[in-house]
Amino acid sequence: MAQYQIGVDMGGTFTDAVVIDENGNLWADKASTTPTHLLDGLVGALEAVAAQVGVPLDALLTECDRFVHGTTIVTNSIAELRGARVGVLTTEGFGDSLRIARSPRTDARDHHDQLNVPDIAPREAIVEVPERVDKRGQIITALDMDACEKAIRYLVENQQVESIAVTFLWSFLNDTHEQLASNLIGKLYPDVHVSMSSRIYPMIREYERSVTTVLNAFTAPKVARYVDEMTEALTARGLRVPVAFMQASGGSLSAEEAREVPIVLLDSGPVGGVVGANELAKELAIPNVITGDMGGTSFDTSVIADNRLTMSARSYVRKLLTGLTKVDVVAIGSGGGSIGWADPRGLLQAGPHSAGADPGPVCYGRGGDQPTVTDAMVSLGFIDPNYFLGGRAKLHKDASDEAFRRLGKQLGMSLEETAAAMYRVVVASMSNAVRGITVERGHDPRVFTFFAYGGATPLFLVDICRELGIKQALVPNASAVFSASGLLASDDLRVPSKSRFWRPGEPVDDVNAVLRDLEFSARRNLHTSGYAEDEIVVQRFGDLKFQGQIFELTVPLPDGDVEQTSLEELAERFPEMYEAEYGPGTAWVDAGVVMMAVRVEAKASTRKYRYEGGTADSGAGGKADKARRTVTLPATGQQITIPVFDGDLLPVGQEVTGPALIEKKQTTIFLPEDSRGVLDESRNLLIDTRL
Amino acid sequence: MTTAEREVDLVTAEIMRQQLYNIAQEMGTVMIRTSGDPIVTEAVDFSTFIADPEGGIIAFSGYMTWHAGPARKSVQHILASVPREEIYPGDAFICNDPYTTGACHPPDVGIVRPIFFDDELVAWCWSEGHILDVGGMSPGGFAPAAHDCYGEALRFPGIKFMEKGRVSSDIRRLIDANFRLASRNYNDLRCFLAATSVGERRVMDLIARHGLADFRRYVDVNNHLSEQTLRERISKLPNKTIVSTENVEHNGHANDVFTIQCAMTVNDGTIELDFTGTDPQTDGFVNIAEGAMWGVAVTPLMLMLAPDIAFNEGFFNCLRMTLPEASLVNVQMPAPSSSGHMETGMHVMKQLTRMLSELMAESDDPFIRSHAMAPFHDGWIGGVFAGADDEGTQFVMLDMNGGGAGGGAQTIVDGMDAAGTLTQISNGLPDIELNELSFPIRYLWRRLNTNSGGPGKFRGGQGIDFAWTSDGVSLGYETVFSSCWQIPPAGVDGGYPGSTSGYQLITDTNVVELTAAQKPVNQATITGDVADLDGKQANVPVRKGDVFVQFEGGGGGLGDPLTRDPQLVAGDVRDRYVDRAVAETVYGVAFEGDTFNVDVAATELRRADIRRSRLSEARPGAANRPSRPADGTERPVGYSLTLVTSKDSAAYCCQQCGEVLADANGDWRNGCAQRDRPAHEALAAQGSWAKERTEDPKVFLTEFLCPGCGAALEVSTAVR
Repeated sequence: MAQYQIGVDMGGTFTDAVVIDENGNLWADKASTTPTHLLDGLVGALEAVAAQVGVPLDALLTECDRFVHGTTIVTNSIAELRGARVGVLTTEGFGDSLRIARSPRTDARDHHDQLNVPDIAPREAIVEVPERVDKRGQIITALDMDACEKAIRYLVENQQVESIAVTFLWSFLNDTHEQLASNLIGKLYPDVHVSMSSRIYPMIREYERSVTTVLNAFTAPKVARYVDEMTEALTARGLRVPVAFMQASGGSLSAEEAREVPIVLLDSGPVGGVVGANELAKELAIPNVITGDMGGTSFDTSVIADNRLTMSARSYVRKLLTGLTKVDVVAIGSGGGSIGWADPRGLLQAGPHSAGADPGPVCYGRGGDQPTVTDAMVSLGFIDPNYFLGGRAKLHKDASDEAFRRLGKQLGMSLEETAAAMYRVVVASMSNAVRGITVERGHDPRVFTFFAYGGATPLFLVDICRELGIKQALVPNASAVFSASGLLASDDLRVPSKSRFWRPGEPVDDVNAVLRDLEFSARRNLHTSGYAEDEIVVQRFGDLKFQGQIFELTVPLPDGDVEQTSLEELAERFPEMYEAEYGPGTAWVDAGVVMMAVRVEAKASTRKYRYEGGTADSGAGGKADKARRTVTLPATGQQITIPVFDGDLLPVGQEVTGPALIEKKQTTIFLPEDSRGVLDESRNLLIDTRL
Repeated sequence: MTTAEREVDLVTAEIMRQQLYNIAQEMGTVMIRTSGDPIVTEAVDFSTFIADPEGGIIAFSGYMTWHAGPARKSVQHILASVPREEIYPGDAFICNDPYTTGACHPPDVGIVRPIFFDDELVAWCWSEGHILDVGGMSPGGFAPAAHDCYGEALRFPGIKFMEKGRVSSDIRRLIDANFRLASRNYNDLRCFLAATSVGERRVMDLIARHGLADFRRYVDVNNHLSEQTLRERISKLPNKTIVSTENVEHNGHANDVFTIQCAMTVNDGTIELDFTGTDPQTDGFVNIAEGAMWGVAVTPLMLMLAPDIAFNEGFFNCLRMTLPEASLVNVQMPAPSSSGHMETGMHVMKQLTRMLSELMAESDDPFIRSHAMAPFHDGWIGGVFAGADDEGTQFVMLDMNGGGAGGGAQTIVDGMDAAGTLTQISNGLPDIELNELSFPIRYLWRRLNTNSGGPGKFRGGQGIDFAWTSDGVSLGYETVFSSCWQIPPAGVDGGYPGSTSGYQLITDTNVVELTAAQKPVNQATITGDVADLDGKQANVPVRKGDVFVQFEGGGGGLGDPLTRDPQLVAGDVRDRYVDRAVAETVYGVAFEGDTFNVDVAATELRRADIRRSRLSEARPGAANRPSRPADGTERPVGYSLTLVTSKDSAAYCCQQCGEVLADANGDWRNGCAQRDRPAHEALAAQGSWAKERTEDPKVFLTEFLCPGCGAALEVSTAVR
């Protein structure tokens, strides 16, 4: 009997399910996400994909040896401010930290966009308790247990909170008080979820630690309910392996751990695609990759250099600064649904407002009347209104045209000029976003390959590459479900960290003790998830900076206990590491080096089934060069007739020269003049942009 | 749109604008990533820009909007003082001189670099930030004790920091000889230079891609489009002149009051600001230079009137200013200016916010009307703790918690809490733990300052209130400087002023004993002698166990507080933004017992009572008010007035009750009943605080009331 691996990517609109078997066959399908009862959407997608495979769902689940779940449940809960009623216990004197928010100003010039940060916990459910630890980790005000009990009773009885965040100053150096308070909550109200800052994020910076902890408390009950329901339902249907959840840090972890620290799932949505891109890149021996994924409302892009994902520390969610370290995926408001409009200067802009899924672009005919990027591609002739989603939906080109005619009147341009301008503006925005994560961070885009996936990106791909000087691009096979299949390319990952200060000349016993603790807990969790000792690879890191500076740089530490001398040598070599990252001359050569924190990264490799790509669907009997179509070229406004190829029938190795369109069921690829595309053995389309 | 613009490709123009803005932003990213200075990385007190060959702004990152003034002034000064043939590729100039390069104050150091393309000077770029020390008599560069500019700082009037790619060792040696934290300060300059290197490279790439002719053409198109659009926006303001007075307090030596006089005229798409009548410059650090004044003046245009229009030199073309020489607003050597932007500059900002709001409220364009706002608190509440710790290590702590005052109320929402000053759009306050780790202090509390936001239909934002005690320092010295101590920031449109900002020092305390016994240290348990510090006071000794308290005021309110939705007021009480007593007496809200439930009927009665009592304490306004124009059309002006216009006449009326106030050509305030109260008493009555001014002139709060119903139509502060 076949063995399967299942990846499920639950987005805000659709839940995608992908199945790969041990022979490298891939099936995919989707169902609508069901926000009121998420399990329905999950089971719906699984049933749909089981039907594609041709087995009953119970059989599929019984024969499944790995199940990875990506979900936007945490992201959406915070974005929509729908979560648990949260109570907060803070150090006396600092109950307003969440509201002060290190000043809520942003770089927005319009003061209507300069607003206080949202209250995740209601103000009346934030209670200060007498206690204080100082910067040396010493208790200077004892925790008042009576006040603490009174506060807890008030939160639960009077405020009806279902989840409590305990977040005291300097608790990452001394967690005695947080432990006492948490134990008391557990004793008084065992059903109330507790999030302790010294456990969720034991790092310096009280504001980020508090926000991270409170957001965890905010999302935990909902995630716990979902995890419990899901586990029960899937186990009942025959699933015999634990479900793993994708984390924003780029690896998966067990459902049990996700249940306790759901905040690690935040913004994990786009991560599957990036991880998948890196695995594919390794197979193809491509070290440097830029990923691009244009969805309905945004364009997500990230950089993979030397087959390493780019990470970002201290990430914002909404306007809230958290302590999360995530795969760095930059999102800008340019999606297929982004709306075109005339700004006060009479210039065309696209986005950030989006028509979303409902009503969607004008051409969907569901009541949208403002022209979107998708409408522009329909009006210009790039998207065949009769072949949308492989012919499953018809689009209304007339309505798109009419909307551009109206917008064009405001701008003094014709319908075609306006639609072409929309294309150029969106290409400029996406190129700027890619420039921001490459050129601005010291990467030369010319040595990168652009991986484009998701439904819409391949239409703009070559022009973005040319704007940035990128010579080679790739559209992966099954690009429309690439994010879901990417989940299965991930490893299991634990990345605990803790603030621990050290400077040259000081002993390292404490540093070693913390490193041992972190490594022990990471290994224990991986064992619990079913990995054997020899499947686990551990790397230790230290966060170093120059004395007086604000930002740290994470550098690898040797395995096992560190010697004081080896750490001191590392400190001596730090300026060159720093300049390698930030440029020559930037190191503070005359300031001392300090270590602020240690981290452990424990990775357990999973067994992965690789998608082999299948063969050309010759059974359908059509021919690859299926039609010719008249399109308006955005750069020149010229109307020309170009060939259209059926991407599912195109033979491996046959070169297609632009201008041409390659249509697949959920993706259309545009090859502008001179660019060349050819399918490799796995039916990934490799493009030479011919700069 | 002109024919010429028709012929250029506007899509390309927009794409190039985005690309140039991106370069300015990228320069900012380089600054944040390479600087370790918390003023740059956390408080985001810096800016970057790209200019045309004459110094006209093409793109500006705008983390601090008012740096736009010094930015262009620096280039203009270099062009005027350095012969063109002595400006080479690979040069960079250093600027921090208020008197020549227009710096806001000497600690704001800019590096300016010319950009050449095919041997032709085609553009400039600059990066500038606040550095920790620039020499002079006071650590940190704010010198309240200075009587002239020579003692304030080492000033660089746009001289070469680098020539033909070689960094000057002379400058390095000069800095080593003069700055207190020389190597750290020099690291900052390295980071600014790195940002300009990136800017230069990117601009050259951009020109190579577009060609020089197109680059120039599209830069012109963009400037022209912004100018034209801003002119159209300005032309939707009423064409008239309004005048106002604002006061600067305490020049560092003497608690005097200084007058800023401003006439704002809207005239055919141009705004003219005439400061004639402003007091002459003084021998304290409060005077501001002309270059910085341009940055101050353009800020309300950028942030209120035209936040949606791309910012560039076109904005300055719509603005004219008359700045009397050697006055507070146009300082000449040798008068000092090390806090000119934070003193006179902030006050002008508040004045312009008020005046522009008054004109915006009267526009018939809904976007403009809705973007009127009350002034921010607009004081950066300075505190510098310096000395040597018990191990002998020198420290200088400029506590960036000074940027925690409240924002102005908006027409749609309450002002932002802990907003800092209007110009600091990317303001950031320090993290408590990081500050404690970096400096020898321990915070005892940091909370919002309850009741500090000006009451109104929409409240001013709240400031913060914090305290610390030293940790490992037997004796240190604190220098404080608040520009808003005795004269509260006004509200608009019937909104009330926010509270002012001040400091206390508690000495002979029990803090050491409490800590030793692991007892709570808070407002209730601390004993000792409480002393108010002056608004500006240098080198106050702080001993072990002493408690330093700083409370920062709120922004102005907008609209009569008696018109605030009572449910919002109930929420404010529940959320501890406003005390229950203030909700009852200032907002006129009655609750059911101790609950947060509003008693609607009792609230109406109470609000009527308050209006009556306002009138009973007021002197009546002009007796000869006109009659209401017959069959006139009505237009709301903000939330307090209605402009009624008929065929033959027009008049301002009360929006609440319709009472006629004055003819539209006259000042409607003349028709109002007026109640005057000493500011400190009036603020105490609203649950907040202003330091009482015991010497002449005194500070008053004047309410301009509808003589018919007692509605507050404007509440202003005045010095007499």
